[in-house]
Amino acid sequence: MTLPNKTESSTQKILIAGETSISVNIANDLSNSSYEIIFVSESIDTLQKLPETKISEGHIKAINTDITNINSFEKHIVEDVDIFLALTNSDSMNGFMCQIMKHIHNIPITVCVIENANYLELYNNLGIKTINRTSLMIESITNSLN
Amino acid sequence: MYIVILGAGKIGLPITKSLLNINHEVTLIDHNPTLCEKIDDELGNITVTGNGIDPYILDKAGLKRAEIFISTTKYDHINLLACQLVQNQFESTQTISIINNPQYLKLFDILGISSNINLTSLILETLHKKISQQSYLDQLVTLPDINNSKIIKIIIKENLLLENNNLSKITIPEDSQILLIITNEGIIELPTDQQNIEVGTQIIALTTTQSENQLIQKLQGESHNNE
Repeated sequence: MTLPNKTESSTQKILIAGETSISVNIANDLSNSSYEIIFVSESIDTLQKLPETKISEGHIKAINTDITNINSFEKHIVEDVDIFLALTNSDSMNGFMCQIMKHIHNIPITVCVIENANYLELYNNLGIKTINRTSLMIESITNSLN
Repeated sequence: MYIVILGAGKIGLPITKSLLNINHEVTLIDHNPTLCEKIDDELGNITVTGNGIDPYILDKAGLKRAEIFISTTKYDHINLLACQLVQNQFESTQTISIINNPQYLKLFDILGISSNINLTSLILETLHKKISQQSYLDQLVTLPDINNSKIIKIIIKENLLLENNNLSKITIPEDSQILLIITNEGIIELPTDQQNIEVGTQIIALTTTQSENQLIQKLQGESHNNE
């Protein structure tokens, strides 16, 4: 999936929920592309893996919170967010987060990473964009063999 | 009627037994093989062992011919996904979901889960029926926002702040309400101003997420320990 291009007149703000090294790497890469990144995690350890320079320069905002807690969630975090990426290790939690962001916080584009292809049809029907990491891996291996 | 239930826990198992008792056909899905084996020994061969959010397991449980699917796990995101999978693949099956945390009521409603059960609301409804003759109910029903409310149990410990062991001495948060007192003898009583509170007494209270800690501290002091 290709993310919308950032233009000078409209900065794309991306909210990422993550708990893995992959999510940290994705946040880092996207911040290189000048997207405005807000990275939320319940894990302090994960937040500490974010590059300090990116945080101090304001390219990545790191917030320790549980975004599934609707009542205590600070609404300003999701203000003007264009894209939400759910990058935890749990397919069901990623889908749950996307539905909260889409229907409670009205974020227009929600994307979740999933491992189990069985959820592809359901999430697509629910208007959630999906990235199947198993398919990506298989495709990558197949390509390298060719 | 053929009914499939996900989760053989504190809610799923009693529901299964109740439905079997009134002659419904039930299949119970749970991921714990030891538990499933034990239930099969007791109730007959009614379980399917596996992950309830795996379409293969749902199919194996006979969702194709089920009229109702009830998701009863303690995880709301699992209950939601299970119901959505069933709605997506087995369109004629009605889905019912337990909602453990009332803050997700709106989300489940928006997503069209055909029916849902919120435990907090159920307990309040039962209380309403039980004490409908009491003027005390008037105070209970004025609580403003049910979605933000929760019921907690507080056990009075040794270093309680209840001067003279009397409820009237305590000022609790405005949005909180003491519902029931369970004495050391196991007697359930409605609270009164002159209520005697002993160590070990259990207090069932309705509060909000914002005031929960404040209420516990009022009743137990700094070393609070609620359940």
